[in-house]
Amino acid sequence: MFISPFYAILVPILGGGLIALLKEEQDGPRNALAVFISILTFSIVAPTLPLVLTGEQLAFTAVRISGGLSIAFRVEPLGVIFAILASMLWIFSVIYATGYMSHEHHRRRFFTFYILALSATMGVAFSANLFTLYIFYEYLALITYPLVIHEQSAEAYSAGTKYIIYCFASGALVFLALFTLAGIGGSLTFSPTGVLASAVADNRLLISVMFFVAIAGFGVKAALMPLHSWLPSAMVAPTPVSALLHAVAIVKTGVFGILRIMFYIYGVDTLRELGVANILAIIVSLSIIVASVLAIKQTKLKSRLAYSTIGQLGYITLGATMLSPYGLIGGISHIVNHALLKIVLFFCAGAIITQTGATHLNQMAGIGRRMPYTMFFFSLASIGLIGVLPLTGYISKFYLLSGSLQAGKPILGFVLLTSAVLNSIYYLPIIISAYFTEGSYDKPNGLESPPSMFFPTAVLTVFCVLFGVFAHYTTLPIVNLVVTNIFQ
Amino acid sequence: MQNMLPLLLILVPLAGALGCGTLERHRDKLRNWLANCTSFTVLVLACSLYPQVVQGTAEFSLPGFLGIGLFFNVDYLGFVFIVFISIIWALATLYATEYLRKDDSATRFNVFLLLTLAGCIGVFLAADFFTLFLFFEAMTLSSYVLVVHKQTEEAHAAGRSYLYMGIFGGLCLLSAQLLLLNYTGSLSFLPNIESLAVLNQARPLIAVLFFVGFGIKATAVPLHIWIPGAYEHAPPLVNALSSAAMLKAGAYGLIRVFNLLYTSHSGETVAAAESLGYLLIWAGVITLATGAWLALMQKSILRTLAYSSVSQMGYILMGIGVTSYLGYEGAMGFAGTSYHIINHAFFKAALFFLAGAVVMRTGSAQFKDLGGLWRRFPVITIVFFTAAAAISGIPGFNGYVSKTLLHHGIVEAASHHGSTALFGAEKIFVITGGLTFCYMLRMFLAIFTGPADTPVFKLAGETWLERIIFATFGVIIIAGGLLPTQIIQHIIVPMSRVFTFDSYTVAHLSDICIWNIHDLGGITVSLVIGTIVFLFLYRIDFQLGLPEGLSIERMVYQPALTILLFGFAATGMIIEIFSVAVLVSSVRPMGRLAHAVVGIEGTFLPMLGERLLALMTAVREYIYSSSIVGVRELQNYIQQAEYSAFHTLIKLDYNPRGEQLYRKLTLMNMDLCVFIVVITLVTAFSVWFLRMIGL
Repeated sequence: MFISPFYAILVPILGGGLIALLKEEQDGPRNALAVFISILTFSIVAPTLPLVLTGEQLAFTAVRISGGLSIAFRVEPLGVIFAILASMLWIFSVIYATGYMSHEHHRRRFFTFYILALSATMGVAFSANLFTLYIFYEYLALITYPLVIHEQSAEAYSAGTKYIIYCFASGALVFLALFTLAGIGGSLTFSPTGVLASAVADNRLLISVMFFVAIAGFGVKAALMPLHSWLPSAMVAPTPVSALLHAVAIVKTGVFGILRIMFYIYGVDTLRELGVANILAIIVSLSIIVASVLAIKQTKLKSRLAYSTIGQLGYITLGATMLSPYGLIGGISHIVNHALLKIVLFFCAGAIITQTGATHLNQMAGIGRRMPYTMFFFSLASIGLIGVLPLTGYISKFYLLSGSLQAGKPILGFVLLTSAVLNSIYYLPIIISAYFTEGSYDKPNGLESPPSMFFPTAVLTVFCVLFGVFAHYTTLPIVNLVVTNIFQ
Repeated sequence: MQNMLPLLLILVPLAGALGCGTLERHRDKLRNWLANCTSFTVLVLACSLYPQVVQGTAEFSLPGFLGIGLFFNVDYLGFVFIVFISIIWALATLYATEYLRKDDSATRFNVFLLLTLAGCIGVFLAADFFTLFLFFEAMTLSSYVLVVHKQTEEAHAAGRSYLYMGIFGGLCLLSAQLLLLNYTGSLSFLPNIESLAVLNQARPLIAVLFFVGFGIKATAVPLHIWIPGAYEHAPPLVNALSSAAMLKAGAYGLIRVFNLLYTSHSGETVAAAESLGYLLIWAGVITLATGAWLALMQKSILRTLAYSSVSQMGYILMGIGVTSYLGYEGAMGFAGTSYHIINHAFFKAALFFLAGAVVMRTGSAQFKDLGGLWRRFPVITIVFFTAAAAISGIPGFNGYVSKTLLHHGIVEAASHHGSTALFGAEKIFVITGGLTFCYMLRMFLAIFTGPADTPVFKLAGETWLERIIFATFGVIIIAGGLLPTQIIQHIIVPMSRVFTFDSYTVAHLSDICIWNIHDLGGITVSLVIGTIVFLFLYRIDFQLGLPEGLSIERMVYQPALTILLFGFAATGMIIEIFSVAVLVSSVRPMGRLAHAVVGIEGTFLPMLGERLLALMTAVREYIYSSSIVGVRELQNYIQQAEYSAFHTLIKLDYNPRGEQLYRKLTLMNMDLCVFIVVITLVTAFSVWFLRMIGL
């Protein structure tokens, strides 16, 4: 219990090693092992939730390098949200991947790295200081590169190159900020009130500049607008990878890093004093609108989802930049809500690709006849992202809008509403053409997609509804805990 | 106390929809039976709310739902809406069995019919704006499926504009209620203008957002643009429900906002509410006049009825405005508008049902393809005539009562402050009444009289089910026209108790008699104007048509949207290309640079090093040798200086006379003598000094 973060990181590493030992043909044992490891990791992580809800925070230092630098872990609310979310979705996507990958090549390599990436994500979630976060952040980028180039086509390689260039540029910026801030502030251990408050008076300019350097660093992974281009091109990866890594793990790592920088290194008071959050809010607002408009122009389903991700991630950062409790509740709960909704969308897209081969939107006319339930899940999730009905997306949008008013910046609320209209413009036609136009699809024989792909999607769709209707029992308590710690 | 009826009213249609949806495709009979049972159960449940709402309100709440809470609270106002909507829905579901007999997608239609019912009922059950908004959105989204039921290209285009405008309206509502919650801390339907009055900028903003949000549904011009397309291409049955229920949901929202939220607790008339009411009156007058003119110019039944709905919603908007304008004394306006809401629900639903029956059989909704149908469809003709007479406000039918009440309302509003502009509005009201008569007369004549182009007796006749449904409508319309006092006393007056009206005006309302020469004269003026316009237009065969392409949507909204989207997309592309160029494309040049550097290292650097070393050596040698030369020069110089000093000293000592060095001491060499003397003195002094210090 005491060292649960340590086990949460270790188990997937060992598991990845075991998977690598199995032969390419041994699909059964490998699939079982992969599912087992992800369930095991989840069961290690899950007990931390009641723990942090009682107010306890565990910490331990693994390696002390020198002076203030150390690799240390801590179980605290924000990290627990991210860890539980990621490890839970990992179970579903591993199950989904066993179905999706059954006809693909290099399954051993795929699952090895797929499981290893879990350990990196756990490391990011539980890291107690910026240095540890940075190490696992870079580790995650390296681990996921083989997954991005899995297809081994020219397109995949060029996407992989782009990915790795962006990731290292991102790492370099984070590193720069890391050491500059360590030099100024002394400590890099996350604290809900920030650690730089005492240093601001002397180094105002440098600290402001380093804010943007750090945000740009994490903003690459969070697909902040001028730095987002790797995300759509990385959609060439197999769908489970796109689903988990590009809608949940990697991009959320970036957003998580931004939250850590903003509230746990700088702190609300420092940010208010510096006034840098407003500039970030402008950039993020533009990012949201422009990405949503670009999503309309996409003709491939997965690219459209990718641009939608860029816009939706902007919601989270925007919620953070409001510097108001409601805005932050909206932002953090949108980490969970967007993850659930977007993973359902990607699972549906993957099911459509494997079952019918349709990748472009114009091939999807009338697909509701062939895959009625899949398209039903897709519809629910996309309506949730628009944020109209009582699905999860509505909760975060409601809080974000309230936050914009609470912060006295209604213009940000207007941005969110515009984005909601744009969301409806690029999601609803997909549903409409799937259900209400005539296509060349026939009814399915039996279940419309393999059970290993169908049931994770179905269960997660139910989660989308439950996390919406019962938000005050699921996400909101712990999110409130995080926010009250920050705005104490 | 929790009352389960509101929850049941939502759950029953949802369960019915679930049941219809899960039935197998070919079990049509069972499905129709289930759908009908559901909608009749809803009607029964709605009526069974009566005992509670007479005494007070029926409340039900789910406090934790969505983290915000769902609250239902049915008062008499909501109750009346629920009852008349469930009556129409029950008739519509019944009629749908007839209408969809040969339709493949009948299951889908029934499912979404019931879902829309659930959404629509929820709107009227809601106790606060949040709950209202949720059901309003649910209603919009599920009714979209009904609008695109035919799945043709045009239906999809119409559906798109319906859907996107619906979503836009929903977002306006959402922002309005968030502003409201943020500034007043309450979302419930209570008079709250005192706390709103504190805000300066947000108050009109909230009003505008609410107006746009509900006004899209309530078809306030220029937010009505979705209606012609949607009504032309959706099944007429859906139009009936839309006109009877969904448009009314918008009007209901406006009533809750402008007649309740924007009023005072204490029953005083507040200037802000008055000015809002004034603007609303004009919004209503513009809507009713525009709708009527556009209805005159149409060439098909469905589009005429669509614009007629716009025009009638204008009456309702105007009534809401009058109520808001008069504030505490606005009972008359409220009576007119609520009476008209109910009446319009019935006669417009009837007209769409009849139009649907006609269009289904003839296959065309264009006036030029129709004619002489009275021979084949007597019941349809009679009921159509009844409904048309009602909408034109002919005495004896229900439209006369509500239009008269509305007319009283606008006259009261105009005389309240003696506003000349509002007297103008009253004139427009009267003229529009005439235009309504004109287009209804024209439609009736075009469809049912005159020569038939197609042999009408080949068309399928009316079925008994249809006759019963249509006759029900006819009876309700006539009852509404003949029993105005009873309806006002038992329905309208209890409804008005929800608001804070002056008891005197309410009492005046319940005693009102509309059968007087003054009101009959007023409607006669309208009808005469209508007849004159009709005769004039009949002569030019109604060739008033606007150019085909003229539509606000195509000329303003779409280009604006396209330009905006294009601008943002272009910006996005530029950002994307630029960022990729900077990050990714810079990697290769940097690689080249590194490569070049490696090349430089092999050749250039050693050469540079050697050169540098040689140069340094040369410099060092130069410095070394030049310092040596300097030292030598210095030595030479010192040597010469020594020589010259020596010679000078020599010259001081000796006068050069010839070559000899040593000379005698002479007087001329006094210097030497002085020298010797000085030395002697110094020596002597030194000795003295040494002795003195004791050595």
